Amino acid sequence: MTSEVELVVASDTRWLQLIRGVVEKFSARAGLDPKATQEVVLAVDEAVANVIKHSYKGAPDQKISLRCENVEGDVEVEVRDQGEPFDPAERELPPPDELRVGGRGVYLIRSVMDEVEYRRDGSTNCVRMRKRHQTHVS
Amino acid sequence: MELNVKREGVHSVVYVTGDIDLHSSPELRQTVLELFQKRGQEQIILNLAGVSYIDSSGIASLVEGLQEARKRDGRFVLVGLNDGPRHVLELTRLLNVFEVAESEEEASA
Repeated sequence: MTSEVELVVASDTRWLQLIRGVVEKFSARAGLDPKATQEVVLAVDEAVANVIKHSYKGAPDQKISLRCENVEGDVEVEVRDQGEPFDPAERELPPPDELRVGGRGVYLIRSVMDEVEYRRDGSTNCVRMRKRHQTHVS
Repeated sequence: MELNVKREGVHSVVYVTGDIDLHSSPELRQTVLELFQKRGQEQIILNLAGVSYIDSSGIASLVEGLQEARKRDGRFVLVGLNDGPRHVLELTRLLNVFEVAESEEEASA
């Protein structure tokens, strides 16, 4: 069975909590265990935060679209925006000893999700993430 | 997120309740840095027992707190780590970089 939820929010950090709530309920209902559910919540939060920070440069009045889909038990989330191109390409984790302040968001997304894809579709950034059923990072 | 600060001399305990994300982390960062820089605190215990969620912006704020503590030979101790924040610290390989204590008493020892 396929089911989906779509959400459109302004690029304001105040909506992050709402987004996490929706993604948490969706993932749990799709059958992910609590740890995997929290990992999807983290990845989506980081992806939306990247849109706010990098694609929209902090502007709070732009549009972010999310689509959560349950594909045979896998949870797939797509985040779309119309801001500056931002490719969450593979990034190295800053060495812990360096105590660098930022640069861990993309690493976290790639650590906890099974698939992460970026494409630029005309003027739209599109990040698609997938968490397979009953898999999680230990 | 709510912050409550208990100060005793040059030691402070900051009680954090709620989620630490891109929306709330600037307030946490500012509070911790001000305690070190403007209030002359030498030790800050960050009590995270009321926190079940932290993202990379929150981790960045913790890193800044630790940097500031090291700069002035002070201490920045995390207490009351729940599973969620602990997992994010593990994923970023920072769990062993921070001083982590089970209780405020242990942190003060």
